[in-house]
Amino acid sequence: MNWKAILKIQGIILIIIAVSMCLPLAFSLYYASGDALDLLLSIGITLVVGLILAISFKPDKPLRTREGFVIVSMGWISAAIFGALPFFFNGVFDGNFIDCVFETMSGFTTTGATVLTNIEILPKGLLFWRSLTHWLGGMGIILLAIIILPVLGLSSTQLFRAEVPGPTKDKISPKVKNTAMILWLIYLGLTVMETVMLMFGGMDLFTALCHTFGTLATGGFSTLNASIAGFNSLYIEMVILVFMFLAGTNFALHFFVIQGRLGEVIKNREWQFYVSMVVITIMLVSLSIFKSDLGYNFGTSLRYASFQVVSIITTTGYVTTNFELWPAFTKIVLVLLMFVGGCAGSTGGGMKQIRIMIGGKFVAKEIRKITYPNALFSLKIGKEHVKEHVMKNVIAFIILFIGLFAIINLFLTFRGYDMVTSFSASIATLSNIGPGLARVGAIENYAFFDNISKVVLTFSMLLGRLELYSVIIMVYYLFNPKKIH
Amino acid sequence: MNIVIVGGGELGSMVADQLIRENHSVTVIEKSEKQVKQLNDSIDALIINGDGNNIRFLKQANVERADLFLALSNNDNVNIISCGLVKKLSNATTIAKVENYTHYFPSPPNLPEDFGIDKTVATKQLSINKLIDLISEPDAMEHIHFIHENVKVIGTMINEQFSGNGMQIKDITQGNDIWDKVRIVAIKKDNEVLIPRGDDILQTGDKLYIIGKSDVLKDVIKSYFASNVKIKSVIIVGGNRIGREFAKAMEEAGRKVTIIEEDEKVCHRLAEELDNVLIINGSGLNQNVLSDLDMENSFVACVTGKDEHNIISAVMAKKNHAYKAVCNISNVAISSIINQVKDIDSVFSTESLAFGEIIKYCRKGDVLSVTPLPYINAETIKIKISKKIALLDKPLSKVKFPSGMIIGAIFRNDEVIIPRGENKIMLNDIIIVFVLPQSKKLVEKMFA
Repeated sequence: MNWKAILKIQGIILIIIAVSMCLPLAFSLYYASGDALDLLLSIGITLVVGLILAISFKPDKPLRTREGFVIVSMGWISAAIFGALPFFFNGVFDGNFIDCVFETMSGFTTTGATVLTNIEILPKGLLFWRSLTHWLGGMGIILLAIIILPVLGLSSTQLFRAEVPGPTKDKISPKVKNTAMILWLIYLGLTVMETVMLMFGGMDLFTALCHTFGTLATGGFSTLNASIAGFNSLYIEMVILVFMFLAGTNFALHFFVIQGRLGEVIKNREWQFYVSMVVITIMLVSLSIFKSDLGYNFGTSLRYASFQVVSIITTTGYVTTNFELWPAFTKIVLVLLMFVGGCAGSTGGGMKQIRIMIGGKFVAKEIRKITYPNALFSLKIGKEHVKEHVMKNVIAFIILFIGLFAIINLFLTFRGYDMVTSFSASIATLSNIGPGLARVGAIENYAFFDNISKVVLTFSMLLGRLELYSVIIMVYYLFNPKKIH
Repeated sequence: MNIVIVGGGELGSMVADQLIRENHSVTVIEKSEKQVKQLNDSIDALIINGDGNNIRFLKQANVERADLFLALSNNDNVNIISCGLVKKLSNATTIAKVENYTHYFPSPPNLPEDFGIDKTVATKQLSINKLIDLISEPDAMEHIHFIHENVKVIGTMINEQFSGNGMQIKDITQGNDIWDKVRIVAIKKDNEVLIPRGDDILQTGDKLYIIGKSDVLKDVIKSYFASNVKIKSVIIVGGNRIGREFAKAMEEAGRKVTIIEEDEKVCHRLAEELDNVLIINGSGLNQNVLSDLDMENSFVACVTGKDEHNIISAVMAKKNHAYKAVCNISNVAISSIINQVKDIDSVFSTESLAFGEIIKYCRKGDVLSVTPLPYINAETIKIKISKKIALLDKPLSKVKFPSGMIIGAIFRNDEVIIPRGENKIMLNDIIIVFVLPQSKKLVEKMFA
């Protein structure tokens, strides 16, 4: 293991975290919300530790592939631990550090599951930091570090592949650094657009920014206990819906749009699949709640259904109504959507649209193979042949995803939580959604879980955000140092 | 610059790696899926899995916006055709590696330009030139050429007859007419490389790297390092590719040439093509074959397609009293290890030679070239002085240079200066600097 490089990059990540904390500090001072000292202390500690690590280690070897995975996973863990300091110093969770880390990890992984029972009592600075963790984690802390790393003479190819979601890692530009820069710029552009549009709807800058962060990162933290329902504004709902949808799209497609290559976007098979799935499930859900005895008229049904479907499929987790009360059919549809998630290369979580497509086509191919034993079939997405190794990787991912889901589920039920709660909490964390059903439902939170379960769920969020492999590889190498060849 | 490279093999990846280091955006088109995976893990470039002569992949690699197109695959046809395709799509400068240059472009009217190729790198010819260099001055084992044809660096081993054995460098060189015109730029003692200072002591077995004008270097070799052995015969192990052409060249030069080749069919073809060359059907690894030959005072070139074969043949030839044994290695990574084998006098790889040529064409900006000195851990950097920097117009003896570097030559207009303490660097000079890896950063900073 190239520990010098691993620790140096941890240092750089911590410096980024420390610098980012200055933004909530500004808000805290502006609103005089009384948490400035907590933030200042956290900035100091994070910065000092970061600087010590970044300066004292001078890597002498280039990174290997497996070290890339370890760096990325450890980077997220250190970000969550140091990012939790402001909550810890403020004492919002009665000094329970596990709660603080849960909340921060939920932020960075863009899950949006909270252990706060009352969000609105949180001081403004902390509230802003909570949303900002979404924004940083959405596009990726490592991807941000990649822009800086080449200046320090470190190669970053290994890191890019470990953090960007999806089975195929399309680089928009030949250089990793430029790719990272383009992605962050698009992200920044969308952020500015949404913030302005939300402010049009009557939000102040603070609230608009917090909700923009929650939307574009497909996170789900709000500043209100009632989430988006608290605004009760169709305009705000629509703005957020559109931007959630955009955030769930592959960011490479946004780049194509900027370049004027609209045709390629429309012809993109994953995007077509994504759009059709969104449209079809909105239809199903709105019809289902319209027909039920909730007393919605068709317009209201469509409004609630479209927002909820997009919120769940992009793994955001904002709510405009308590879908806990909806018919069982719609709840199952929403839970199934949780497994799917957004497009590859988006900020969304879940298994990703493209993997579902490849998995489905693989099954179809195998069935056709049984009927024509000697025939040869190629698995295609559009006109593009999917290579054997990509296909195998996707199948392995799906199996691993379901397997991990089962293990977390078993663990939670073993700890004594009821079936629906355990089931939905497992998938809501693994797919980085946030709200689930029953005790973790739309208007509930995760505060009632015991500490060990919280640790497991924190880990589940990290697994989901980094698409399983990175974290598993890190755990494997850290706990089996003798097995490293 | 945006650079597209076809072929991510040994040569392609080496070139890509260097260009990325120099901050260019590189896209590589590579046919083999396995190689694509490896490249994806090792270099920061966009890697496309496909054929370089397929317009679809060329477009995918965005050649329309490329400034430079390098066709470096192992297939001449692919390289030539892809350059032709690219020329129609973009304004990029095209460079093609053409191994069998004379097959395609024997003489006018067939010119590479007709195929849209701006520059060709004829790899086979490079190897043969290298061999000719080595045989024409068998006591200098490395030859590196710079801008001017008549300036080069040679590497030579100090033998027992060397008059300066055990003396300090300054005592040997000071006030000596010949030594004044050349400069020792690196010394390899055992496996350690030093940038020499005046008080370093020279001993038998040290390898010296000396820069100077070719004719002066010849004098240096003659007066200090020659062993008075005349090469009587040339033995070539391997009759394919390089072997055949080298034999032809040697035959024309009137030397006694023997080729050892395993493949009977190849032997027949060689016999048809060559007149005064002895062709032996056998293996260079076979002691009986070797003992049949009179190897005393011979120059043995091991140029089969297999590295292992070449290495062992060279060692065996030396055991059979060959005067010099050189071998061709295609795996660049092992060539530095092979260089530590005492019995092998010189190692060269076609890939590194081609690498040097290609990089020369790709340069832009002040650092004109970085060439690794063959098989020792030091580099030569060619720098054009285009800005006013602190050390201009000062006598070099007054400038404090970092310890791991030495200025080897200054090119001013068309003149070459091998610098002494009183010389100065001036604006628009091109200088050649030798550096050890640990001092490279300092040197770059100094001239930036």
